[in-house]
Amino acid sequence: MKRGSRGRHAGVAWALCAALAVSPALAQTTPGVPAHAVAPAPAPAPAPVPWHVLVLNASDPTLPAFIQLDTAMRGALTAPGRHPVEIFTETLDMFRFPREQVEAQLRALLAAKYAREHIDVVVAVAGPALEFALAHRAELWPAARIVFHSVVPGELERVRREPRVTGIPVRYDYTGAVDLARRLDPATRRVVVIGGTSDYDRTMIDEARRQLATPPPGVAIEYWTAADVNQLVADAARLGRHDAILYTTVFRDTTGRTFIPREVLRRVATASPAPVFSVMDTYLGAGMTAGSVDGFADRGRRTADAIQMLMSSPPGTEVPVYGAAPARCIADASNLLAHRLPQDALPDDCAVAFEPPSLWREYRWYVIAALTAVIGQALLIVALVLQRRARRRAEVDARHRRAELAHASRLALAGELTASIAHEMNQPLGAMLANAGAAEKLLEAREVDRNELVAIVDDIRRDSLRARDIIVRVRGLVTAGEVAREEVDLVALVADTVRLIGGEARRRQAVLAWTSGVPTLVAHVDRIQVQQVIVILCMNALDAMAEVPVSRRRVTIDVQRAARGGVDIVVADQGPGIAPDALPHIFDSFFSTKRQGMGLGLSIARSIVDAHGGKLDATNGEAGGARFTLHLPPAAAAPDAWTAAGPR
Amino acid sequence: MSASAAAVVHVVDDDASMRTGVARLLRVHGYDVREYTSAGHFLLAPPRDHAGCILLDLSMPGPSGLELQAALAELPSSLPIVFLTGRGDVASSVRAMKAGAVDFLTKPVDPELLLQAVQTALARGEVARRDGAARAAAQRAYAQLTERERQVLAGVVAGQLNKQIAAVLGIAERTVKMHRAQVMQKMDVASVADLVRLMSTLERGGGAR
Repeated sequence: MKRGSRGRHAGVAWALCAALAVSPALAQTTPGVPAHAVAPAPAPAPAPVPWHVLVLNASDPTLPAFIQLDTAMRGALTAPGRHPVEIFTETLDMFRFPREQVEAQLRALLAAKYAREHIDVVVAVAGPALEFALAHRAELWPAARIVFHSVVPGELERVRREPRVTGIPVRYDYTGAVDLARRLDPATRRVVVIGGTSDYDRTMIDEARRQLATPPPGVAIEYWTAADVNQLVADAARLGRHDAILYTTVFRDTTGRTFIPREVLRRVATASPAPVFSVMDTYLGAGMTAGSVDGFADRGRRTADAIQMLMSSPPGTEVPVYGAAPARCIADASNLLAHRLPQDALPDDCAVAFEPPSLWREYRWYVIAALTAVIGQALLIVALVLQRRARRRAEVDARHRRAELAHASRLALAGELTASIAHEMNQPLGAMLANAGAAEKLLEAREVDRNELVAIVDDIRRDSLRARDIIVRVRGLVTAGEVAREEVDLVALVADTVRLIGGEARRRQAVLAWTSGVPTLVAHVDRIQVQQVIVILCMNALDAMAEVPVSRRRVTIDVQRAARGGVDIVVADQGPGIAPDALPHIFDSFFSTKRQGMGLGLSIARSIVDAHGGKLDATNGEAGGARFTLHLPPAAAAPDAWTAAGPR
Repeated sequence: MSASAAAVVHVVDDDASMRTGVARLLRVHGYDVREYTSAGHFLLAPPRDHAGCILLDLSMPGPSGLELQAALAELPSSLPIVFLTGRGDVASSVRAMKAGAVDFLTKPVDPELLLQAVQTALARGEVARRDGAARAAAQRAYAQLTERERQVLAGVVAGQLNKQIAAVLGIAERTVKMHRAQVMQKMDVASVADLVRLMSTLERGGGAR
């Protein structure tokens, strides 16, 4: 079973291969396509011979730092449009295995490996690799140019005398790291430099000693290198919060065990209350609080650049050694926070990583959506408030206008009443004049009739009061001042109104009479405006009866408690009534059946009644004549007061 | 200022205070005043034989002042009318004056003007009353004439000679002379000229036929 299955798989594989192999031939001999119809393909330019680049790493190429560096270098070398390259990688691993122990065998191995391979560039990584490449180039890769990187300046002495060598030296900025520590915590008095025992570790420590030979004033530098990693971690745990650790590399400890420096750092940083500073950017995220670093990715790109420069230059041209890249500040925000170090004490150009996730970063779209919603709502609210304010203003305007219109209408009514009002006034005035004349004559007599004089004075006083009452009534009608709701006895109001326009009715030879089933009927209304409505209705009634025989000219006003609550005031006349086609329109503005009517009276009357929450209806009486019913609601049911005031 | 004690001023006004005031003013000036609250009340008790005048309000409930004026004009002995009104509208005043009103006063009226108007009205009333009395005497005398005497009278007033009258009537000239003397005596006149004047009064009064 098993054997059969394998055989079938193998068969499928073979078939696939065959198809792939045959397909170009198939394409060329496709039937129906004449061979001469296929344009001859232009001769392809000969593919450039790739540059052979050998990366010779003195350390472990899988270290995070070298992976980062290598990735950046390869990315730059193989970018589109660049000369093709083929990259070989060899590891010397001399940081863990001493050079004298492995050099001869490595040389023999590489000689065997590269006997037939042309190498254009050897990239020497770290000092030992550069030493090795310089020592054995003539034998192993005689045509190769050498580009180094990650070599500290102290190891560069020999390079100056060698041809066809260039590279990127590295300068680890221990001074800068210590400055950062003191900048973040000015109380720092002790800096502990942690390092390992491998050759490379020593190189690092030596460079640190050299840079920190004269420590900043008030700061003591300790070097912890003679301990195994466990001891190192235990010691670090006993450091104070105002101490600082300057971590270099620990590839190997005193026990001879080898380590990945980043992992050692992680343990030290976790154990120690003191913040860790360093000079390599790969330590970011492994416990380093801040560092003054020479970036590995940057170094990789510069190495690629150096390879391009070397290979593009004419043979015999030397490319000088590059300068070390300036150190830059990096920091870990979460560690700063954990050690209570102020982030704003960092230099302005410091790149801060691991900022605590802000709402904005984590929930950007939610935040945007929420903000949009909130802003939208706010705008909506503002718009609504503005609209409401505008509407209120318009309402107030409209109310003012209505009040003004009502006042104008009252003035017009007063104008119509002028003749009868003048007549009304002339009666008491005439009587007073006559009485005064009589008194004058009486006083001429030798014996004054005191009783008669008293009677005259009484009459004059009574007539003055009568004249005053007329003026008061008229003034109420024409007033433009504040109008206000109050408790008004509508029976008394009707009686008063009949007195006001009784003269006009007499002038028109009509009878104006009022009746009421009850002595008083109180409602919460605007006295002047309700009186205006009654006057409008009565004047209309008198107008309607202009053509009616004098004997039938009669207007009746009836005040009653309404069955549905409130008050009904019915004004009925003996005129011709309202034409059926006019009935639906009589309350419209500018609708008039009178030749000289403006058509505003009933419209204003209805708007006044509406504002009182009442109702004004017109019908034709059963016995003929028009019949207007003014209904006013009970006091409590009166809606929003019509409080507008005219000009004051 | 003062008028004959017999003269009565009739005040017709529906407005009590106005009526009282005017009545009082007239009384203190020595007039006899009677008050009426409407034209109807006045018509119910029209004054007889008295000298006087009417102070009439133009607009009143019921018959108006102008209607009362028209009604009074139907009566044989009409009193002069002074109108008093609260509103002096031209149409009404023209109507009133055409119908013989003495004056048309607007309230409130100056007491002086009112008294003057009343005096004028009473004076005119006195003249009219006197004319009326003369006419009545003439009528009474005329009524005592025989048929023949009236025929002779007509001839005399027409300016005919006795001879002509005798010819027309077919009687003797002497008989005409006798009738003529009888007429002169009965009509209480001294001359033909007086007789003619008396007859013209009778004819104007409308009682001669």
